[in-house]
Amino acid sequence: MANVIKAHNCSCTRRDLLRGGLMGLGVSTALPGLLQQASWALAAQAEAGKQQNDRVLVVVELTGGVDGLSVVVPVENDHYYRARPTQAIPKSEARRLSDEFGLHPRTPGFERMFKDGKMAIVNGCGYENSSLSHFSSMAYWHTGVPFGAEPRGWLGRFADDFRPEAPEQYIVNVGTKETMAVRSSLHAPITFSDPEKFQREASATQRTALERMTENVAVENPSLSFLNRIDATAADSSSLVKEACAEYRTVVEYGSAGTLGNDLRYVASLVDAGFPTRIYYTSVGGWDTHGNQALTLQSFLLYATDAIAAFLDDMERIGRGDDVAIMVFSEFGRRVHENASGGTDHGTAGPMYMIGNHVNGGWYGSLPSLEDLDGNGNMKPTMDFRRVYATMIEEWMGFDGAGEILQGDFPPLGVFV
Amino acid sequence: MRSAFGVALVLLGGAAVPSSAASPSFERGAGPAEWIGDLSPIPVSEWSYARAGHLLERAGFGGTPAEIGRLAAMAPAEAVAALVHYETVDARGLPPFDETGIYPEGIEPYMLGVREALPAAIRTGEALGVKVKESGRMRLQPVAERSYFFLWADRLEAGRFGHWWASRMVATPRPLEERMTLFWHDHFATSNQKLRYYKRMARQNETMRRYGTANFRDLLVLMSQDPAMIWWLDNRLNVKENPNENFAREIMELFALGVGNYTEEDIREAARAFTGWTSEHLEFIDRKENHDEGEKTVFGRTGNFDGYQIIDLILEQEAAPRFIAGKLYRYFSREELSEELHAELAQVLRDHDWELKPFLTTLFLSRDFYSPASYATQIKSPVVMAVSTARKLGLDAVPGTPDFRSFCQLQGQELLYPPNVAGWPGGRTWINPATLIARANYVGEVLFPERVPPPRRRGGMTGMSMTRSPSALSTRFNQSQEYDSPTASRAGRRRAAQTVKIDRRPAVVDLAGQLREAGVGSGEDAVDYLAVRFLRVPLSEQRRAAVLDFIEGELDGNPIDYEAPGTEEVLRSLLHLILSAPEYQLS
Repeated sequence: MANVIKAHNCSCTRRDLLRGGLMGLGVSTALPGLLQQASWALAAQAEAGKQQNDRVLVVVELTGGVDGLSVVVPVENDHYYRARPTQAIPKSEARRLSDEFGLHPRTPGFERMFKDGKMAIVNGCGYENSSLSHFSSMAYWHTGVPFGAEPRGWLGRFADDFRPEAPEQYIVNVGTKETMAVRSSLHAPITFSDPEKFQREASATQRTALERMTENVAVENPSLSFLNRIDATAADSSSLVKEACAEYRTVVEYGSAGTLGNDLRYVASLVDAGFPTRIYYTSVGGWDTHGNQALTLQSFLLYATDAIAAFLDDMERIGRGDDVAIMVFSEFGRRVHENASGGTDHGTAGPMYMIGNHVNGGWYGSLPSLEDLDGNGNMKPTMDFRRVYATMIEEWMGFDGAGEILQGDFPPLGVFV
Repeated sequence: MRSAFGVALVLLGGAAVPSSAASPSFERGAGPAEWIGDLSPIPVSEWSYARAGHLLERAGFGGTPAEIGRLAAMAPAEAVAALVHYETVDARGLPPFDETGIYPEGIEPYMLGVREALPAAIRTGEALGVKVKESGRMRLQPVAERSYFFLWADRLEAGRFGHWWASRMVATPRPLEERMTLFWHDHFATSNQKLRYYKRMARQNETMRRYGTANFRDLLVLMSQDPAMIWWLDNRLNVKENPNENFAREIMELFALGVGNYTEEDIREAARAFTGWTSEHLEFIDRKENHDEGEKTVFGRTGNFDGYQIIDLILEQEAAPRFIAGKLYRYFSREELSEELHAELAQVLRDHDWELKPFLTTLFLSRDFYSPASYATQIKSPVVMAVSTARKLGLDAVPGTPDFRSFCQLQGQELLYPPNVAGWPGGRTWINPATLIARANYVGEVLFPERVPPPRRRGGMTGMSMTRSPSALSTRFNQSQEYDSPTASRAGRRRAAQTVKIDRRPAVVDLAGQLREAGVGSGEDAVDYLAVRFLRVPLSEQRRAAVLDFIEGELDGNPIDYEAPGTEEVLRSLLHLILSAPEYQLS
């Protein structure tokens, strides 16, 4: 009745193994011990240079609903300044990007990437009949199916369709909880927030027993099958992740523990160690600025945008700049008119960002009218966020099945060249 | 203290319980597939030790073989009644929360933050019982320190409260009472992250405990008037001139109806009906002068409604009993339920006019509850995992070492701090490679507390974090050099750590004594005894072979020598291995 899905100690696909073996590659001395033994590390090296297969997507979720109008500021828009008597970013302080827009003063990293032509800003992203609830709206962005009941996330479905036989480490989710966006039927995303704690404590004799106890088998009880699978992934990955993160050395400043910067440092560590991961997911909260918006954004925007720019610099430094693209989103923008407590309430549309060397930087989409609002005083989105997802799936990852994954026709934006 | 549950005297007739039912085994666990969807009661002839164990695991937190044996010896209806009708069980032996007393008399909770305290101090020369310095630089420093002390001390005290509550789950002779309190904490999810005043949370906790199995309508009214809820969902700001929709939205979306069963217009209008419901000093107040007396139209009905009437209108909706029945069923039984079963369950709530005990009784007695779709298919939440481990070990509290709160934080279920108003998503979302590893490590540290590194020197503030840096909160005042925020925060934190003492007592376990008493002789006996005692399903053959080889290796093939030094450690290592198996996560 129990049938073996996959031997637990082989985390690589047959194809990768063969390639690694056939190419007869030597082991890089730069790789730490355990990683040297991982056969996919060899395969990853063998694949270096084969762009399509090495392409990595890094998603950054800004949890809580970022006030897009404070980030990409419509500096020539009178409606904006009238709606925000105390919360508008003064034209004189914005980092000017175009005739229409400037960036928040505390986003030097974004300004640099935009001016280097590495950042696409997509204005007005959202979906029709936008939900004003954090939970519902985030679930819609995670599944990519607004008002649906998809059990898997959009990245999980993408991984299932695009690489059904990919190695266990195909998706990495840095965070304390697995996000809905990466939930998949064929993959068990590696989720961790602290690599030091991502390791079993056991004596040597216990360890021998534990290795035999790892058994990725499907049984009648679906919950036990699920647990068996995660247990096997944990056994395969924990030491490798721990070692990769501990060994990583960089001159790039990422910021302290518990920040987006630190999470992106872990991503950089795994990319550098040759992990076969193609989807990384990170998130940072604190954007729900009903009150005290100005002060909150001062620090949060600086940390987040600096961290993303630092990550891209680091990828450049290790020679992987061309292999990485970053997509940044939030579950909604905020109300056009400020509230009475020095903040803004839940809204609808907001900008999304696509960042990387291959990005054809510049402006996409258009800012919705700040005058013609919906019944709740919110913008009417001008760009379905799933067109950005489709862009990442088709143009960046090179898979032309976005329509099926996103359950609709969402033409990509022509961002990647 | 533990011995009492099960003495609720409900005398029921019927066939005798099979005599084999009382001895521990995995036999007759999941019932036949035909039981899926069948709400009729499980007959006495089908009762077994394993099924009694299933009942105690779900309606409580599991227990020792003796506790399960007692339920197994009753008829199923008696066993369920013993859990559900717990009022007759004496719980007076349970210790109340032993407060540190961080808040002196007369402190206004809404004045505690620096943003509130400092302007008041500037205006009046004092705040939080501390005077502004008369001259010199940093005149506000004492007030700022005091404010940060309260912030940090409240965080620690909330952690102590969570630990006390979890220990109550371990020690209580009324497990369902605590299990339902935990359910409602998840359902009416309120977080001290926003409140920063644990006393409101403690009061809410007591309300949920007292009314948790009574009538849902009463509970909904009590929660709508609960001071913690009023702060959490901003109803204190909901006044007729400036209605705030936060509470009205969540009572419909998350507490009683579910998405799709109301309109935005219903929310706006219902919000007006809740205007004036606020709280002061931990008490509910209905401020008539802030209440909107105008006509409101909700669900197509028009009138000068108040909060009570809106609650009645909500509960009259077709969706309401479905929503609550479905939520209870998914929490206690399993995630998938058919349309027919869902309708039947909703009808049970309707038939009993929102009384919860008849509903819970039907659920726990049903064949469906013991069917293969429900039996041992749930994944334990982190709190349930920690509590049931302690109960199954026969402890009377959750150990102080390893740190319970840090474990729960890393697992994503810190008591009093649900992630948001939707509560914990639960189920498979608890499990990922990192949380699975951390669960096994936690159990290992319970069994080997001496291996846990001592808490960091800063007074055991492990895992303590704030979402906003103190400096960002107070830049405005800081610039005037009236006080230094980082220094104030450090000083306040130091004092908080000195004031609030964390219980770090490790578990005292005599595993060898327990096995000896149970007549366990060989390594193989030990493996089988511990598996039945701690797991809901047997270990897979391969895993059983691995742990068996381990213990035979440790014992060198000999029977267990209870006199030998090191036997306790060997048995604990064996138990740690068994509890590291994926099977242990099943409830």
